[in-house]
Amino acid sequence: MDGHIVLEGVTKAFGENVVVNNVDLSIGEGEFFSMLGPSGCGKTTTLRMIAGFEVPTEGTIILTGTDVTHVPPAKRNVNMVFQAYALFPHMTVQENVEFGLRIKRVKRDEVRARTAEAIESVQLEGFEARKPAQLSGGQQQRVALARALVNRPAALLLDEPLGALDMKLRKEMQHELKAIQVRTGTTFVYVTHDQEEALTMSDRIAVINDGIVEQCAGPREIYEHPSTAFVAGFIGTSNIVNLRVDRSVDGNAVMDVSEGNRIVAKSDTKAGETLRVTVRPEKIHLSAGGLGDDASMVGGRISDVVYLGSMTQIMVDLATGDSLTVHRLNDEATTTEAKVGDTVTLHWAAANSFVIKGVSTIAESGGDSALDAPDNHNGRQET
Amino acid sequence: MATIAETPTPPAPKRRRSRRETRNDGGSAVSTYGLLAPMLIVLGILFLAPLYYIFLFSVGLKRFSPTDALASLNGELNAFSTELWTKLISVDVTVLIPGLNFDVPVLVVGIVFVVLLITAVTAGRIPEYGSWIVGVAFVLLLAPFLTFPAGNNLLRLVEFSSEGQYMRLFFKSVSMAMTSSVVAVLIAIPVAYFLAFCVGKSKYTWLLIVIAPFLTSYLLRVFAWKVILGDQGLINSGLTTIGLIDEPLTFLIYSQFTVIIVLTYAWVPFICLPIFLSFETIDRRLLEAAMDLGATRMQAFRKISLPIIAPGIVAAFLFVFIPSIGEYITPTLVGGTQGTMYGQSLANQFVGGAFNWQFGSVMSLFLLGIVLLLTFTTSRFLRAGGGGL
Amino acid sequence: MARDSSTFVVISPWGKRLLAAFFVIFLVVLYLPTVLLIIFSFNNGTVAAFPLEGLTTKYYGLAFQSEEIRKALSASFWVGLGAAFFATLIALMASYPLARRNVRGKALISALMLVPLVVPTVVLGVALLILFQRGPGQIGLGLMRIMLAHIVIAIPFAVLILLPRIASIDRRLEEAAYDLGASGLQTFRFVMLPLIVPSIVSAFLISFVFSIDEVVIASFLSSEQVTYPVYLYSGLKFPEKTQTLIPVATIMIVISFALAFGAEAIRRYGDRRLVGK
Ligand SMILES: Nc1ncnc2c1ncn2[C@@H]1O[C@H](COP(=O)(O)OP(=O)(O)OP(=O)(O)O)[C@@H](O)[C@H]1O
Ligand SMILES: [Mg+2]
Repeated sequence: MDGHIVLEGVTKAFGENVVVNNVDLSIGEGEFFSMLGPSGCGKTTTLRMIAGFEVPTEGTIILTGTDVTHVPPAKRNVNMVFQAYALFPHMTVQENVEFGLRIKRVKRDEVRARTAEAIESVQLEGFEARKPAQLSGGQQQRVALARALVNRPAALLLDEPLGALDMKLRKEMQHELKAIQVRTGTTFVYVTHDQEEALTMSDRIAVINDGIVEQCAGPREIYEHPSTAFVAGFIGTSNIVNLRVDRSVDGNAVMDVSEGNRIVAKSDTKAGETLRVTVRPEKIHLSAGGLGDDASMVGGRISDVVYLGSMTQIMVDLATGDSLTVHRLNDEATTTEAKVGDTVTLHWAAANSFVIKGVSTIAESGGDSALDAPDNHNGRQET
Repeated sequence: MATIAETPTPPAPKRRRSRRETRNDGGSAVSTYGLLAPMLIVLGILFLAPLYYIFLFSVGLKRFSPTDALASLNGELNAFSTELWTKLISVDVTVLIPGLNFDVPVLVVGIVFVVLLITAVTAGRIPEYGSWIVGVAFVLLLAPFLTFPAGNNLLRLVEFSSEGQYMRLFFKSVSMAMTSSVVAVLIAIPVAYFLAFCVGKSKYTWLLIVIAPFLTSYLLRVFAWKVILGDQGLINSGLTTIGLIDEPLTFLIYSQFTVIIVLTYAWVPFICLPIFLSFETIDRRLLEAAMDLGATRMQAFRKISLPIIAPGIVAAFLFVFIPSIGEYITPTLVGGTQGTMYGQSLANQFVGGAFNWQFGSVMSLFLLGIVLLLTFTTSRFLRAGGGGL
Repeated sequence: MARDSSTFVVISPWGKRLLAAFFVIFLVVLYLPTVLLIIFSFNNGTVAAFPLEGLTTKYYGLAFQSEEIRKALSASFWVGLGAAFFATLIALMASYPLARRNVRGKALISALMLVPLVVPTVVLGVALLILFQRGPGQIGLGLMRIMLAHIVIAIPFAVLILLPRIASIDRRLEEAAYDLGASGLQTFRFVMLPLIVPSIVSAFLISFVFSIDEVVIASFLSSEQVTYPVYLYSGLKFPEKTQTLIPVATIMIVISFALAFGAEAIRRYGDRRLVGK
């Protein structure tokens, strides 16, 4: 693998507890790369191994072509923005930002120029003489950023940098961070457990669960083509359906639920096998329509309607006893109001049913609602 | 301090994967133990070695006299023997409870105390009655040693006496130390309570004012009490001037009473600190919640505050008791012949008239053993969060 | 925690008044001996007893003319300085790994370090006396022996001040410094040290105050040159000598108070500095 930062078979165990498990990653130069996953999944640990604070139990870390697995943090040309900033409380903003340069004995003039430039790039002019305790959360965040950027690192490692900020400031800082990243062209390795943040900012995202990289791809790919049940469940809301292939038509696997009702997914799988399929709530349409064999179509009754502002979330109980979550935009086109008890037909294009890996139990998938095909139909197949 | 990053580790793949090297910022084992080494060396040479020597003396493996002949002339042990230990410890003890009076081997007394101590420390885990058992055990431990001033002598609820003069002196010292510790705690509690709850923002300043005298010379504070309690002191001359007495009150100075007063005075400022800190940990909202649920102030104190401050109180008690039990300076200055304590007699074996290093070593180790036992058990109690009082 | 708007829940109004009265009496009794001592330092008599025999400052003059007192004071000062310096240094070195790293046998080491606090000073005094007189490498120098002994007891004090402070500093601050290229030494110098300086100063002052007041061990170990507390101790046993001792004692008390409040002021300044006021 070549890339700006490469992790090869990296494993980290604390005693018996394996926190990062055989991770392979390749991060390109200038890329905004995010690691996304639930709390405790090993994101910080992975980042700390790249920074050099933890030594992998196994595997290699390569930075700009050099094996740095055993190089101490001070000798790696990457800088970290810590989860709670870790600004030096006894130094002013100026002193904090200068720190790295002075340690490296950069010439005075250059220190001054680069510090000023870094402070300017995070828009903190005029705050140079303040102590961290005299700054707001967002300002502290910017100081932490400037303190790292001033060193012109090969990559910036950010550990939930916006975690401590409130919603509004968070949104602002997301834009600003992205802007700074684009402007400086620095590689960002960004850790977050906020999927929206990852989706809006990243070039690529690695979704991590339990120390394993579940999927590593661009935001659109991750969202629309989740490759595992975990990814489907973790990113946005997702319905997961067990699909037992009854017949195969034009490269589509079809399960007949009842007369005229069917679920379809793009797959070459032969009849008799079972697939797991996800479908995003906003891809499901409510109106009836004469659709062909390449679209799924199932009837059901509305069991719950939740108004969410820009859209409405509708839960539909299917005849089979399971339910699907549907999102419908509240725009002018939507004239009829969905009411609990209404009978509706759901349909979605075959291209929106994605086959995911893993045929294990659905309960752990974390999807908001899951359609499990009835047991009396064809019988359950466990593998 | 740490020596990381002084020498960059050359990029060496998997080969260098040892157990220790899991963090990169922690520094090497060499620097860790290198930093601890001076402390370990100093304590090894100046603390453990002396205790080892004192042990050798206590069992006759070393002696003061340079030659064997001189040693036997001076009555020193020449070879391993537990004779001196026997002399100190195996003496019968007379337990004097008003009306009763019986002899008990000292071993039995010791066992009873150890059992009581362990009960007090561990009984908190017993459901329901645990806190009562702990309370009773504590009372049984303290009560026999509580003394009340009565002239030059002191009254005890239960008196331990013994034909062995050193054991008798030891019990007397324990009594005096116990009494001053209890009195000191009883004074410090309201002071700390007042500071913690009734004084506003300035409470830390006031706390400092309370503690400051503790940081001034101990000797001088003892001496100042001589000026107050002496025959021509503040109290006696005052009382004489207003005609209440003709002769000075003699029990004020050079008595057990004086020693107890001075010890209490000397330590009260210091123990206000732990008690204050434990009051500070009480979340006032808990008390409000309790009273909101219908508890009276007393009930709220008993059910909420007391369990929280119990460890602080026990710690405070020990802070006075442990140094007092081996006191040497105070009884020498204000105790006279009445107020002699174990520590003086111990010192006397080395620098005073008795001059018997071997027996002095036995006395030292005995005192040390008692103190360590006490510290160990109570630190368990403290760590267990007050034994569930 | 208790932010004091009302004290209603903890005490009744009458109880509060009662406590306040108790507190005032307590303070009066607490400071009475010190005040008396200061008054008696100006007493124009030969014994410290009532009634006073007029005021004079002559004993201050006498006290400072005394060669003995000056020597004892300077002995105490140097012993205290040495003990405080080494105890603080050793405690600082030991606290760092104990607070930050996985040390094998940490519990045992901590216990060993703190035990000197509870060992009766008489016991430690005689044990050291035995060691110095009958041990393998006998140390003859009186003052040196006292200083060594004081280091042992001052270490736990200093550790109790330094260790919690070091432990309370966010480990990520150090990591941030490493990350920015600092070596271990630079990290200590530029990040750790400035944050713990106030605690180092208090550890030093506490050790110093302890040493210049310690009399039991010093009296066992001193030879021809005594420290000030030992001098004072032997003087206090003879009433006719006391009057010349009181003036120096008074000055010592004033200095102790100044040190105590000074240490506190430094600590508060250290806290405030972080907030940048
Ligand atoms: N030094 C350590 N020793 C032992 N276990 C550790 C250590 N550091 C982390 N862990 C464990 O490793 C797991 C992963 O931790 P990590 O900090 O990488 O999680 P994270 O994904 O960053 O979570 P969060 O989103 O909450 O920050 C956790 O279960 C944690 O308890
Ligand atoms: Mg984390």
